[in-house]
Amino acid sequence: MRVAAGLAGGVLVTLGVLLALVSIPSPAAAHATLLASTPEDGDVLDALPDRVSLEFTEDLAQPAYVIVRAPDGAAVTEGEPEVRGALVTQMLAGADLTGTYAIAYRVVAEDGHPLTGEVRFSVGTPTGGPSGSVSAGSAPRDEVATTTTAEPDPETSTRRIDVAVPAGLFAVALVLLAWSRRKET
Amino acid sequence: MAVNPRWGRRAVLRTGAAALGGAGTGWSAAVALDGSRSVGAVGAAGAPGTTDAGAPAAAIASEPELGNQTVPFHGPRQSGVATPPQAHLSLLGLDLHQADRGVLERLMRLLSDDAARLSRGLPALADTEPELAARPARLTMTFGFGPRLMTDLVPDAGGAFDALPDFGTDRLDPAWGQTDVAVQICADDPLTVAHARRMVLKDCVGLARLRWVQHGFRRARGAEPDGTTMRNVLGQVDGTVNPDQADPDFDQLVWRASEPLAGGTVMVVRRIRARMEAWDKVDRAGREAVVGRRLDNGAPLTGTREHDEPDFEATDRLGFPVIDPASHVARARSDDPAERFLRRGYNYAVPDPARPSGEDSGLVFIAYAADVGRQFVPVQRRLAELDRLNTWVTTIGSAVYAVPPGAAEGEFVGQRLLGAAPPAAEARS
Ligand code: HEM
Repeated sequence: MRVAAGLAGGVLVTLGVLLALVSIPSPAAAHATLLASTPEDGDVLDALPDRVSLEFTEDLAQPAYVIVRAPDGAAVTEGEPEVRGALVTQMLAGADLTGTYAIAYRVVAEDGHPLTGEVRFSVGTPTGGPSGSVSAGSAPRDEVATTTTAEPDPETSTRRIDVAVPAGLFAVALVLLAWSRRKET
Repeated sequence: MAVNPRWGRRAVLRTGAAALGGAGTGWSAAVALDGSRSVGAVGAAGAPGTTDAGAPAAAIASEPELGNQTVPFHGPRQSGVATPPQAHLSLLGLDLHQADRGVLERLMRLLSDDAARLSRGLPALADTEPELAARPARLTMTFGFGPRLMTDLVPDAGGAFDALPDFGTDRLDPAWGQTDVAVQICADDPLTVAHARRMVLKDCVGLARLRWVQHGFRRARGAEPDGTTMRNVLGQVDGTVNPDQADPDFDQLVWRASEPLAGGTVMVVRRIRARMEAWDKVDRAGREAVVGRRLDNGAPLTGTREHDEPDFEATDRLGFPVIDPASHVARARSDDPAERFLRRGYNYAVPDPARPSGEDSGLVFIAYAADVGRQFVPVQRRLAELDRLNTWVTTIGSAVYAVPPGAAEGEFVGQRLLGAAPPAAEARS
């Protein structure tokens, strides 16, 4: 019995490892992410700053897009964002409302990787967030703009089958082996 | 179910385990060996061969249908412009020994005669390999004259055929620069193209010198259904939004209505190199965002099918346009419907051991427009100003040619443009 239990455990571990391998998305290359921002996500300020800036882990291609929304949903951006290396700066203008603001960004790293996300800060007392903003709760900090990746890539699914089927066969084989050992002991 | 006593339960179980384990190993090995699963699995989807005008309508089963198809050379307009693009291109850039009317006439008489014969599947005059002419495979030979010849020989052209202006993103190599004459040879068979090229070069002896050849390719005819939009070497569906002969404004966009080039057009040639080494680092999401279209079927990022109309106003959850305003399609599209032209480009790839990828590849971008200054230049200017694709592509060659109207039977291309008298002694064909 103990041997069988041990073998069953082994089977489970093997299966777990295989499944983990299978579910790793294929192009796992390191992509640019947001490194820091001014203001930082969650900051509470006394007044609306005259600009916001976002710093990424890689240099960016021109142009970048930034929308900063006031608690009432109105955009408070002035002019186009300026891109310098890995830094994007956006000038602000507009009514100094109290409440929670959202900085939405869409940038493209020099390697062509697009990056979209949101950072929130408050002036005075935090509120739920700008009415025009999407995420009233925890905003996804970095979110990759994906299109067809949303659907399973036929090649990826083939690759998964190619791992899953032999894994399944091995697993059944191990179970049978375990069973045969049980009869022996 | 009774188990054979000599085959105890244990033995059966073990055998089963071994068999299944073996099957698992086998599967994995097969996967490792068969790098591409699709090999042998596809190919049954037959391409419905369409027959061009002039081709024998009902070919005998053993007759090679694609190889025998012809596109008429004679007519009011030159072939090879509105002709659905053939699989292979050889574009020749020639310089006349003398920018002289007589020299050009003599050359065009020879070349037109070759084109008339070869496009019918007949050997050229004094063809040393007449058998090679037997498969025209939709051969077309299209001729254009560069700005130097137009200025010297057609004084009333009125600046309509000037060289292109400079664009900030161009890195032009004179090796791929403007020549006096362009000969665009296209056919669905590479040997047919090579033979026609050789005939052209033989005619040039004593009259003109070859400066460059730009070879280009698309998928082989028959490898996919006729009418499928081409794929370029970057993997993109390229040519979706392009004037179609069935469109009411096609003629107006492509063919010149006024003299001295009525019935002709203007050809723009841009050799555009792609930095494949850098493109390799861009993931699919990035590649699609750069162009504004999907890789799998070429649909706009706001649609699902190739020919869906892109919605440049659509925004994502955060309020950003789904199709990046800096993407290639957003920048290439003009609000002015006159700023459109026919794209008829090809892929190129030539060995280049100096590059990490081992080759230099990209597009032999060929465009036809009735008025290049009005239709093409504003678009190219906008792309040079801003286009995400510019990170990966660079124009290294540029030229423009006036394409005279087609020749009637017994005429040579450019005859009326050059004001030459019909050649009495030359009425052969
Ligand atoms: C290597 C260089 C280039 C590549 C890889 C490329 C690729 C593409 C692709 C994939 C499309 C989308 C599908 C389609 O409608 O064809 C497209 C569209 C287009 N391209 Fe390019 N292109 C290149 C250069 C150029 C140049 C030099 C021009 C003109 C100056 C140009 C003009 C256009 C136009 C007008 C469209 C259609 C835009 C619309 O939707 O209205 N392209 N190109």
